[in-house]
Amino acid sequence: MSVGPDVATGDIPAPRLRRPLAATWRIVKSQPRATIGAIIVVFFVLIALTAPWLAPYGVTEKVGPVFEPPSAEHPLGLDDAGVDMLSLMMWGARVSLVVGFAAALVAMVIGGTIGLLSGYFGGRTDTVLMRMTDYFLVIPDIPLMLVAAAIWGRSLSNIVIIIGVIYWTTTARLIRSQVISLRERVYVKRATAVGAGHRRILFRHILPQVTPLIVANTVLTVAIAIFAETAIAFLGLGDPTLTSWGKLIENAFSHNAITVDAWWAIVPPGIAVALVILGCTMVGQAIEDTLNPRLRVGHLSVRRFRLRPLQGTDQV
Amino acid sequence: MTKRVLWFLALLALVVAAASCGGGDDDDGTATGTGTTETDEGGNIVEGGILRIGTTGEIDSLNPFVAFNSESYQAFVIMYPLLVQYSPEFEWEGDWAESWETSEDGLTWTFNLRPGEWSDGTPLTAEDAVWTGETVLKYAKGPTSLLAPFLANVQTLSAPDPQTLVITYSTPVGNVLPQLQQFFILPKHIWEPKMGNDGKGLKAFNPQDELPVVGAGPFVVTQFDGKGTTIFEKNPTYYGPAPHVDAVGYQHFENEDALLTAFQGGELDFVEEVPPNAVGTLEANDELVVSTVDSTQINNFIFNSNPKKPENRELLEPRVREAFEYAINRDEIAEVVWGGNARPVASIVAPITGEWMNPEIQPLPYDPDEGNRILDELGYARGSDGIRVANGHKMEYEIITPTGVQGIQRTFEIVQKGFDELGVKVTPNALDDTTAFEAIGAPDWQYLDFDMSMWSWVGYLDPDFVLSVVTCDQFGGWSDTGYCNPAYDELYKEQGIAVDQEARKEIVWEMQDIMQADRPYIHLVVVDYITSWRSNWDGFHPDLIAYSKLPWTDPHQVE
Amino acid sequence: MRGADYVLKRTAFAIVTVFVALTLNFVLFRAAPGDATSSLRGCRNCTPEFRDALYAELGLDKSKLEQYWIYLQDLAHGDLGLSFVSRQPVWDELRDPILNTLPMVGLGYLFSIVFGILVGVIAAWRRGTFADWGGLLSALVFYSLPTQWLGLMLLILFSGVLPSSGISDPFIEFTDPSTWEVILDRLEHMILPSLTLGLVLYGEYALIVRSSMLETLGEDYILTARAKGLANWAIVWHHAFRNALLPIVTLVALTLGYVVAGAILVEAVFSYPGIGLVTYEAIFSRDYPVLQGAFLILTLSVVVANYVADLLYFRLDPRISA
Repeated sequence: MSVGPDVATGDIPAPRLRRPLAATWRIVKSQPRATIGAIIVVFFVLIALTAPWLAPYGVTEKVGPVFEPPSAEHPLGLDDAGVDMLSLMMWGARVSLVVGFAAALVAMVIGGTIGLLSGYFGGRTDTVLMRMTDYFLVIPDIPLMLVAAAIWGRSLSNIVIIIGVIYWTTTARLIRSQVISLRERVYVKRATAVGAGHRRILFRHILPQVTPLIVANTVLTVAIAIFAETAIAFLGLGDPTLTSWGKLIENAFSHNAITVDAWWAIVPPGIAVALVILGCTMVGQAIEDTLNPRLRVGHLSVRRFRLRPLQGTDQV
Repeated sequence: MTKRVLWFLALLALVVAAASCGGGDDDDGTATGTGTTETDEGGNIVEGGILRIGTTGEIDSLNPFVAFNSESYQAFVIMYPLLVQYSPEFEWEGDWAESWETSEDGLTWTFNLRPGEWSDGTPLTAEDAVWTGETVLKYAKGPTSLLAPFLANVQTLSAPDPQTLVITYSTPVGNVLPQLQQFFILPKHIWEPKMGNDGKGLKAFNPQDELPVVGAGPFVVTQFDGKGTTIFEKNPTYYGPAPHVDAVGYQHFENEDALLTAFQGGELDFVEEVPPNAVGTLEANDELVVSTVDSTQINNFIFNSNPKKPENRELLEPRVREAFEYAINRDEIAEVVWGGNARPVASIVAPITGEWMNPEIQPLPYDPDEGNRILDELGYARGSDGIRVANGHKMEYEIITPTGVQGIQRTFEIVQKGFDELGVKVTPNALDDTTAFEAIGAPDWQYLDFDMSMWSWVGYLDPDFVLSVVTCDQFGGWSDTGYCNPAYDELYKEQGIAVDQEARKEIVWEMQDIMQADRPYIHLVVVDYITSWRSNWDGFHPDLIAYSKLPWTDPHQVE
Repeated sequence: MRGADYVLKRTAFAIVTVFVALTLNFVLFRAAPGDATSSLRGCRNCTPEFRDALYAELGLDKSKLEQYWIYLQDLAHGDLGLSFVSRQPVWDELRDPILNTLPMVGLGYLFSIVFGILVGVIAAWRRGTFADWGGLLSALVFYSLPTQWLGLMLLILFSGVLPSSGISDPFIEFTDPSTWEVILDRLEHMILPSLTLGLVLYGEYALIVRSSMLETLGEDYILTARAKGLANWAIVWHHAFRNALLPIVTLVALTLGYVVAGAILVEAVFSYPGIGLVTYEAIFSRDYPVLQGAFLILTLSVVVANYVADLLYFRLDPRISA
């Protein structure tokens, strides 16, 4: 066992959580920061969901001259192909959010599983899995995403998988740490003594306790994933059949929006992405802070930079 | 940027006749001097300084046997001697040649050359011309195929004395001067050692490995970076009138906004190919002058026409291609991509060439219903996802889109939109120009892999070059279609030696009919050439770029 | 844990990670499905002799395992292969871009660290006040803005004032500049990309510094110091900051590796010819040797940065070096 400061989630024994999702929600409601963040994210999710009905025009539908400024009819003006920006923003929300949530889901499933198994079984399983995690951490994310997109094609599913595969590591380490501390809890020991199988313990006792942390981390990963998608799209390697916010930023960059002073083509997508990332960050960090007021620096899942915890817990 | 050779922009196309009229009895040309400098109306000529040119195009190579971008050819015209060039009135004047005579039978052309030196001091003699010509002819089917069309029908070259070049043709040729205007004369002492086995070393040589690049034009390349800035410095050994500026900087920008910001911010003096949607902004700026001239640039859509291609053979079917053409909205392309500075066309020969373009060939209207009808008739039924199935597979294809072609992204999206209506799904394969060209020729210039692409051609007032790009000989050379039709090649040879203008016209029209029927290309629009410069500069000739050395020797600042 | 033990273990780990990185690099570019393996197609305008030599040298006719071995041997000699496009050694193509990226990234880094620490400390010190909220907000905002978009905004903001692309004025040599003018020119071109990077990083650092400081300020020894009558700023500086330094320093060292990779976006916006832009261009020209070399360098820089972070942490953390 390391004697250094642990990637601590369990320094302070937290009360046993019943109904973990409800508990998570309560945390969100209690912190103004988190509430605001949640409202922002939900707002955009709603836009994404209702786009097919609410968006005034289609994504390829030319409705006026190139780069027409905002007007009553087109509150966000038209882009360089004469397409309504407001509609583009709404349709783009669908793609960006789908990528964000799907990739985060992939990361959560992989990271959560590895973290759970690693923390629970300990020993060699732990060592092997954590080593693997460490190796994944050294891969520079954006270059890998670019190379993968170039080699394996620019489809949406590829992008989701790549993002998910790169960003699962922080989740894994976090979950692992909390599972380690939970392992020593009384009720777990009691369950083991009574002869409960691993599956039962994992699912009935440990997983519920870990859920809020998983949720927090997933939310933060959504933010990272959305940003990663905009990065890929900006570099021209996004899915060519879909329009995401990232693609809109790229369009503005490649089609002279700056020279023409068409701010309506440049500003909205960036602000939308920033707001969603902001919202997710606020929610995620609020949950993490609440669950563990003594969280060390190593826990903050930083966008685009994946942190290792600040010492090697893998020395055993 | 686009795969064209030289730009041919005639303000007053009338004078074109002088270039291609008459057979062997063409003028005993007497040069009026190589590019006399204009006198200014107002303001005095300020000598010196650097002309900073900005472009999103790219000099893809300094090797004339490899380069295919027009920017490269623009550079070659400046770097190397040409026998003749166009005057501002589009008449013939000598560049390196002071004067020339033709024999009675039109088979022998004698050029009297100005004395001069290469930039490294080696004497510039007719021997260099002979060596260049003979090398090009010798390997015309191999390494020198890009330059071979310009010496079509040349039988021999000889140098009776250092200042005299004699070219004999195997048959009287009607367009000798337009052809020779593209005949770059290379320094024998530099290139001969590089030849390698069977001339294969010619294409492998990077002239920029030996800076400054030895040339004999008004400027020499002292610094080369195709993706950055190439610097051309004044060459004191140039045989013609000295340029006004001391150096020309040719700066490549990846991003149009960056180019225009730099231009408006005073970092550049001249911009080629102004993006159409920025024209309004530039025109509103008092410090800048915007110029729009007609050009021969035609953007197109390409089908792999090699009958040996193994996959997606339904694309070889002419009716499929016809259906695809019905799905392309040329008007929208002209409006959205080119801001109205373009017009739909259907032939590779541009309208500005005058009577060389076959007027009976018209673009098909945008009619996806008709396209759908044709595909239905052919039996390509739609699947449950709306995508048609042909020969047992979905009609889903990749289109190679070279990143250097202006407006390609938007053009592709308009095409994609139209094809969606047909139930055909296309995705772009964005590659840089050189890589795209290779992907088209893959594997190894056999044209077997690719399905479709999009690019453009810039021809000349004389249609010979642009008609040559689909001949069988141009596999591995100019061909981007893999098209090979012996009947067409026959006609090409015929028009090359047709001395009677009317007869030649008939042949050229017939060739365009064949192209229309076979449709290796769907020609989209002919685009204007838009340039811009700072108002404290003068002496620009956008219509003569790559046709004369004047566009780089004349520009100067004014008081 | 004994000191020497720790260092040894971390070194061993670093070495193994290097091998993992090398192997991943090989697998990604030479063994993965897709056309990356058809490296031969990319040899442009080569003579047949050259192509044959290349084929033999890369061992493309041998098994993957043997190719891997050749690959490792080449790397040991610093041979990263030849670019498909220029046929020059890959290292020659990458060296200058790396030298271009480092100062740009370094400048941005400096900016973010200085302001991140400043704002983080002040926000934690004045917790709950306007300074705290302002700092927190600014940090969150800059943290959330997409890097490339922020770059575009700065481009618009400073257009006409600062150059919008490139690394230097290509024509400066014609004006016979002094060394100072050359440096100034370089700086002018570096400011916007560095600022973009710096602002985004600043958000992150400010948040983390603030958290770290808040934690430290709540500790007992701070209370003791206060009881002893020490002035506020003295407490903050001498005690809290020093102890918050450890995670901050380690964080800085850790993110260094990633920042170079993240610079791709900034270099794309400003056409800044660094390693990020080279990587990006290599993709569109399918120049796999250059891409492979750039990727390897980026990966190794992360490994090195992590290793340095481990050593630093060891040095600074009193608990480990006991």
